[in-house]
Formats: sequence, C-alpha cells, structure tokens
Amino acid sequence: MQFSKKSRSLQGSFLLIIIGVFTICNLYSAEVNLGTEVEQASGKKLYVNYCAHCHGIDGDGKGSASLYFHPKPRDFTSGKYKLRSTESGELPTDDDIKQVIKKGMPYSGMPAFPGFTEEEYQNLTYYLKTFNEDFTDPDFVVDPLVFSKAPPYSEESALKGKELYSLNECNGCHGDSGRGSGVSAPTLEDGFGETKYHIRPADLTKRWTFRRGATREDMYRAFTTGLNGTPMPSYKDSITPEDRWHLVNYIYSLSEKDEPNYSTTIIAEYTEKEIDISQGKSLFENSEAALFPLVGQVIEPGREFFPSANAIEVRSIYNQETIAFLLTWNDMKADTKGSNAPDILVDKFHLDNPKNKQKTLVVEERDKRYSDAVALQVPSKMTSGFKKPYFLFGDKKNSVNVTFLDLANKNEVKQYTGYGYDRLTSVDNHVLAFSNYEDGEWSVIFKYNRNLDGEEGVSFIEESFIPLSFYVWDGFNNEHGIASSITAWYSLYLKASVKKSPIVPMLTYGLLALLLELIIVFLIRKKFSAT
Amino acid sequence: MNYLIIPLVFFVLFIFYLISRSKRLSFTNPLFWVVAWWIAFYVILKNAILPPLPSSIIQMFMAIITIALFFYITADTQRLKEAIHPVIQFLVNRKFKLPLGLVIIIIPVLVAGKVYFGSQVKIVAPVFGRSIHPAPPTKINYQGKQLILNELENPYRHLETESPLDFQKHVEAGRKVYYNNCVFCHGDTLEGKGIFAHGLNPIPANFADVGTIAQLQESYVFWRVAKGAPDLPDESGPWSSAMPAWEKFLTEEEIWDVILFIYDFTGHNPRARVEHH
Ligand code: HEC
Ligand code: HEC
Ligand code: HEC
Repeated sequence: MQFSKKSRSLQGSFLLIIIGVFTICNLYSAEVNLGTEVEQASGKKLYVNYCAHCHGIDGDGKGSASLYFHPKPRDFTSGKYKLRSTESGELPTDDDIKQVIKKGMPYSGMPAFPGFTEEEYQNLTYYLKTFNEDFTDPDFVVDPLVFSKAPPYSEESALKGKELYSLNECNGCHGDSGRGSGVSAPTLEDGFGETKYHIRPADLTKRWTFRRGATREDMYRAFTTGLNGTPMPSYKDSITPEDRWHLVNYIYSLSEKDEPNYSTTIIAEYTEKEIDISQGKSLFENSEAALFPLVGQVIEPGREFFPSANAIEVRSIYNQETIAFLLTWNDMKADTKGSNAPDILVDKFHLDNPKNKQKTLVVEERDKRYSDAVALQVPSKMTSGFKKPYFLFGDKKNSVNVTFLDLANKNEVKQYTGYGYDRLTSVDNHVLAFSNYEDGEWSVIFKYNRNLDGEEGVSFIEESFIPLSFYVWDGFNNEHGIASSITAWYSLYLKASVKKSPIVPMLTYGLLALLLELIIVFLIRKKFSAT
Repeated sequence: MNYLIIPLVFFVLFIFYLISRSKRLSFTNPLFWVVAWWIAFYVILKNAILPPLPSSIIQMFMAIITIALFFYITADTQRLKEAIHPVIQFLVNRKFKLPLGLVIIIIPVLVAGKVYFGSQVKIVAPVFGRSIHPAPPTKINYQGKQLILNELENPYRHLETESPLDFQKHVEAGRKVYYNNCVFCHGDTLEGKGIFAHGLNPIPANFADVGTIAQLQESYVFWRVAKGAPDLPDESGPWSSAMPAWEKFLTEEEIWDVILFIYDFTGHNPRARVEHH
C-alpha cells in the first residue's frame, strides 16, 4: 500500500503526539527522590534537635515525651500518614510532609515549625523518609490527586450537605450534630502500631481543631483522601466531588469562624421572672454566650496531659434574689457510672504517679470507675483590687468556693472550700442544679442565692466584676481528682437591672461644653473687640 | 516599607514651606506650623514604627511634643501674638459670624456623641499590669535547705569550658526534663506557644525573646523554676500564673539541667552575677 503524502504527515503528527504524551507523563509522574546523603544528614541534625524527643531517635514514635501526648507522635516506620494529597492507603508526597512540619497539627502534640528554610523542610523530609523502606520503592511513589479551588459557599449547598451527612452515615462516628458523639465513637481505634489507641472522631462544630486546617479546601481533602491510620475513611469513590463540596459546606456552617471566639467576661442579663431551672437551656436564650478554653491541669502533682474537653460555654441570668449559670461543653459520651470528686486521690494507675511513670496508660484500660463532672469556682470572699485566691483551688491564705456536680449523682450538688488543691473541705450549700446530656453536649445549670446581705461568701452585686473559673472531668478519659481540665480566672459582670439612659449625661456634658465656649467667646470679645 | 512614611511626611511639610515662601499665604503663620508639626509627629508615631507602638506610649510622646510646641510658641511674644491673632480674629470679627456659630454648635454635639459611644462600649474586665521580673527574695528554702540566692550558682555551668562533653550530657538531661514537663506551656521551640498556652493568663514566658531569661541570672531562674507562681510577690499576680513550683516534681540537679538546656537551645547567656567586694 502506498502512503499518500498527506497520510504520511498524519502518521508523523501521531508520533509527535505520542512522544508528547509520554514526556508529559514523565514530567508529572513522581520519582523516588531520597535526597543525597549530605541532605539526609543535615535533616537528621534538625530531627535530633527538634523532633526526636517525641518521635523517637529511631523514628518509631517512642521518644521520651511521647507518653504525654494523645494522639501519639507518629511512628514514621509505619509509613502511615494522616495528611496526604494521595489516595487512601498511599504514601504522602514530599510536599504533604513539608506542609505538616510547617503548619503543625492543631489540637494535637504536633507543633508548627514555621521558621525553617525551604531547604531545611526538604532535608527533614528526606530524613523522615529513611525510616520506612516503601519510600525507596518506585511502585509506592505516586502522583498526588489534583484538587480544585472551593466553589462558593451557599446555604442551599450546606442544606444538601446536611442530608448527605446522615445518608453517608457520618453521624455514626461524628454524631447527629457533629459533636463527635456518634454511637461507634467510643469504640474507634487508630492503627499506626501494635498498640491500638482510642481515637476520637473530630468535633465538627469546632473546625479550628481539625488536624489539616479549618479552610473548606482542607476539609475537602480530608474526606477525599481519608486519614490513613485512622477510621476516618476516604470518600473519593463513594461520593461525587459535587456532593463532597456540599458536605464541606455543611461542616463549614457548623462553626462560626476559623478561629474560636474566646471571651474573657460573662455578662449576666437581668430578668424579672422567677428562675425555674427545670426549664433547662431555654431560660438562657437572651443571654450572650462566653466561650472559654479548657486546658489540662499540669501544675500540681496528679497532672492531666490530654484532657478531652477543650472549651466550655457559659451563660448567666439573674433576678432580685438569685443568679443562674448555664455551662455547656461537648463530650463524646455521657459517663454516668462510678463517681467523681475534686478531692479524690489521683489513682495509682495514673500517668503522673511517680511509681507508674513508665507503665502504659490506664486511659487505655477505661475501667468505668469515674463519671463526668463539672465545677464552678469563685473566691470565698471578694478581695480588694486585683488580688484573688490562686486559680487552682485557692491558696493557704485566700480560699475559693468550688461548686461541684458529679453527673453520676445529679441530685446532689457538693460545695468545697479550697485552700489549695490538697486542702479541700466539703461544706453545706444551697445551690440547685439541673443537668442534661443530649447529642454530644452536656448542659448543667447552677442556681445560687445572690447573697446580698453580706453573709459568708461572695455576693453577686450588680455592675461589678466577679472572678470565676471552671473545671471539667471526662470519665471516659479517666479524669478524676485534680487530673482534670481547667480554665484561668475569668470575670462575671451583672449587667445593670435598670437600663440607664445615656440622655442625661449626654445633655449635661453637651451643655457644659456649650457654656464653656460662650464664656470664652464672651471674655475674648470683651477684651479684644476694640481692635 | 513603613519607614518610608518618615521622608514622605517631611517632604509634604517641605512642599508647604515652599508654597508659603513663594505665595506669602496668610494662613501659614506660626499656629499653622505648630499644628502641622503636631500632626506630622502623630502620623509618624502611629504608622512608621513596627511593631505598632501601644496607644499609651503614643499618648506619652504626643504629650511631650505638645509641651515642646507650646514652649516654642510662648517663648517669643511676637510669635505668640502672631499665632493667636487668627484665633482672636475668628472669635471677634463679625465677618466670621456664621462659621463661629457652627463651631459653637458642633463642639457640644461632638461631646455628647462621645459620651453616647462611651456608654455603648463592650464590657470587659480591667486588665492587671503585672510586674514580670519582681525583686527576688534574698534566700529560699529548698527542700529543707537554705539557699542564699546571691551566692547561688549553677553547679554545672563551669563544665561548659572545663569539660564540654560532660556539659553536653547535662544539657541533654535538661532537654528530656524540658520536653517531659515544660513543653505543654513553653512550647517546642521555647517561644511560649505550648498546646495549653492559649488557656493561660498570663501567657507562658517566651525564652527565645531577649526580655526573659536573657536578662536574668541563673540563680533568679532557679528561684522561678523551683518555686513557681506561688512565691511571686503580689505585684506579679501570683494568683493567676500557671507556672508550677517544680520542687514538687524535680530534683535540684534536674532543675539546673533544664536551666542549662533553655539557655543552650535559645543561644542566650545568663546575666553575669554582680560581684560584691
Ligand atoms: C511535642 C511532640 C512533637 C514534636 C516535638 C514533633 N512532633 Fe510531629 N507529631 C506529634 C504528634 C503527637 C503527632 C500526631 C498527631 C496526630 O496524629 O494527630 C505528630 C505527627 C507528625 C507527622 C505526621 C503527619 C501525618 O500526616 O500523619 C509528621 C510528618 C511529623 N509529626 C513530623 C515532625 C517533625 C519533622 C518534627 C520536628 C521538626 C516533629 N514532628 C516534632 C508530636 C510531635
Ligand atoms: C468510622 C468512623 C468515621 C466515619 C464514618 C466518618 N468519620 Fe470523619 N473522622 C473520624 C475520625 C476518627 C476522625 C479523627 C481523625 C484524627 O483525629 O486524626 C475524623 C475526622 C474528620 C474530619 C477532620 C479532618 C481533620 O483534618 O482533622 C472531618 C472534616 C471529617 N472527619 C468529616 C467526615 C465526614 C463528612 C464524614 C462522612 C462523609 C465522616 N467524617 C465519616 C471517623 C469517621
Ligand atoms: C502550666 C504551664 C507551665 C509549665 C508546665 C511551665 N511553665 Fe514556666 N511559666 C508559665 C507561665 C504562665 C509563666 C509566666 C508567668 C510567671 O512568670 O509566673 C512562666 C514563667 C517561667 C519562667 C520565668 C521567665 C521570666 O522571664 O521571668 C521560667 C524561668 C520558667 N517559666 C521556666 C519553666 C520551666 C523550666 C518549666 C519546666 C520544668 C516550666 N517553666 C513549665 C507556665 C508554665
């Protein structure tokens, strides 16, 4: 067969296209890149100085500080990485690893190291890759998935996402309202090493706690790639990209901002009505919520290094005689078996017991010994100026008053006077309490007498700042005694019961200014009008 | 970038100066210049300096500048006359009747507005200005032992020059102490950004900053580490500091080791002891 001139040129262009496709493929396909020995060595130097105490000198995640973190520092020999741009089960790309080092993993022990140079990130990455052989195998080194920018947010899309959320059974782990309280949440385990640790589903109402980050692109990647080593699956094949963006928008709508809106002052609103706490949360509809961070008690012996709760929201209302507080916080599960109290000795299994330092944590044993609990603390009496009792259960000279509710024994409010964490004594009290657990959220109401006739104890007087702070115990996490989560001192302010109109001071100062002006003009005119 | 504002401001003033020279404009009298300089300084203080100055510092500087300009005007009677002449004209001369009337009305309205917005501000508790480095006690009781701070020295510091290998061992021991105990608050890179730092007030000290351990003697740091918040005087607000008293957890050697480590990691040197003769 004779080729015409035309078909020959066609053949030529085919060849060109094939070669072209080939080179493009080659350009994009990942290659094994382990760096030079010099680069690995300088990565190692950084690793030893900045990472080894957590991730272990051999990269096995068993550094001396690894005891004190949960989730555990990554075992790099496992080759499992949570944050990737690759498909489920695959290795991460160099860029993925560099991003983690640069940005850290919020609300875990993994800190951000924003200060290294590009070269240092790369060298560290080369060194981390030496811990797992798969990185040397071209078959395991893959192309990253391509991600597009987020389409615009809309309420409609978020509503569609809400349907998809239960349709795809995200609620089985993350709970109906996304607070991380699904039915299977208490049973989830991670899979990085031989020891399995319990892993909490993310609290989707707090996007600032997400390991990858709070943007919509971050979330999309989380459920497209899945998080290797965790039960969080990849939905790349089961949910279409469009639906994944609807899901993203739904989860985005569950928290107000990228950052938590922490407050320093609770504003108590005045009400004429009788405060009947059996009405529950609805009593507090008109009062502003103040969100406070909760952190582990790592100050006195009996430390809690990885508390479960990370924030508590507080509202307050008051009337002539009484004041009530609504405390709400998210909890994976209501633990109402066993008991709890601030003055029980931190038990012999606990991590911070010196005899027990090297043992594995009981947290993993989860005997149902301790129940959930909460406490509200105020000074026993107001001190002058800024002076207060020590924020952790008071000090030898200035005591605090701790109102405590064991959620296994909801009818009995306990009150303690604290002259220090080891000097708590139980006292009589007249505080009423109401509590409820629903869909991953505890709500507890305390109702106090305002104590205006100056008896023992702090008086809740209008328009003054009263110090207060909070404690939360999670039974599931074995928190008990002073192994709890705590807040710093914050303030309560009772907004004036009678709203003062600003008209009178406005008129007074305005007229005063006018008078002053007229006097000046008059005097100057009198003196200078001749000229 | 911000520093460019300084030449820019002076350039604008210079242009005004040139215009006033060439046109002999009546408005460019001493009062005009004083006001122009005042504004110029304000713009510079407010915008040209990074990180931005706190407003209290700006107010202090502006008060000094106001006084200086006041003296500049009143020092010379001729200049004073020239400066207040237009003001008096404004108040006295009939031809300014309308603008004067407007000014007389606007000022009380502004005052009333300020009072109104003042009453609308968000309620926040007053902030306690704590003293960061209060005077230390002269002696402390450390586990039954009296330690005189003035005479206290880090027993391992001399190894730095005499036996670098042994010194390094102590630094490494200190590293372990640090990451098992201090990291939650003071953070991985010792900059005070530990995982619990956001829930504490005052926030944990940033050791990398020149304003903390770089200014202190090791004996002072020993006191702070061993005794923690509870031993602070009232001016430092011991009631709210989360700094633990490490004598409850660590041995004397561990405390000295961790002190070696925090200086070694940040590259700071402890302040030298003042010799008493
Ligand atoms: C204070 C302890 C600590 C230090 C120091 C630390 N890490 Fe981590 N790192 C962690 C913890 C905890 C995790 C696991 C977080 C999780 O699983 O949510 C982690 C996870 C990681 C991961 C895994 C990310 C993924 O996608 O799964 C990488 C990579 C990493 N760290 C690198 C480093 C490097 C490099 C350094 C030093 C520059 C370092 N880390 C220092 C505690 C630490
Ligand atoms: C089998 C249980 C399970 C199911 C089903 C599940 N998740 Fe998760 N998810 C988890 C766990 C566990 C984590 C926490 C992983 C961690 O902390 O590293 C998580 C984390 C997340 C995160 C945070 C990612 C980050 O960066 O930290 C998001 C967002 C999320 N899930 C969304 C979803 C959505 C949407 C669905 C349904 C389409 C879903 N999850 C289904 C268990 C699950
Ligand atoms: C629970 C949090 C917490 C832990 C854990 C902690 N610190 Fe602190 N530390 C603070 C806070 C908050 C301050 C600042 C307030 C103050 O001066 O008391 C501070 C201040 C200091 C200061 C004073 C710095 C200065 O310039 O005055 C030193 C020194 C110090 N810490 C050392 C340590 C060492 C060493 C450890 C570990 C053995 C440690 N801290 C553990 C919270 C903590």
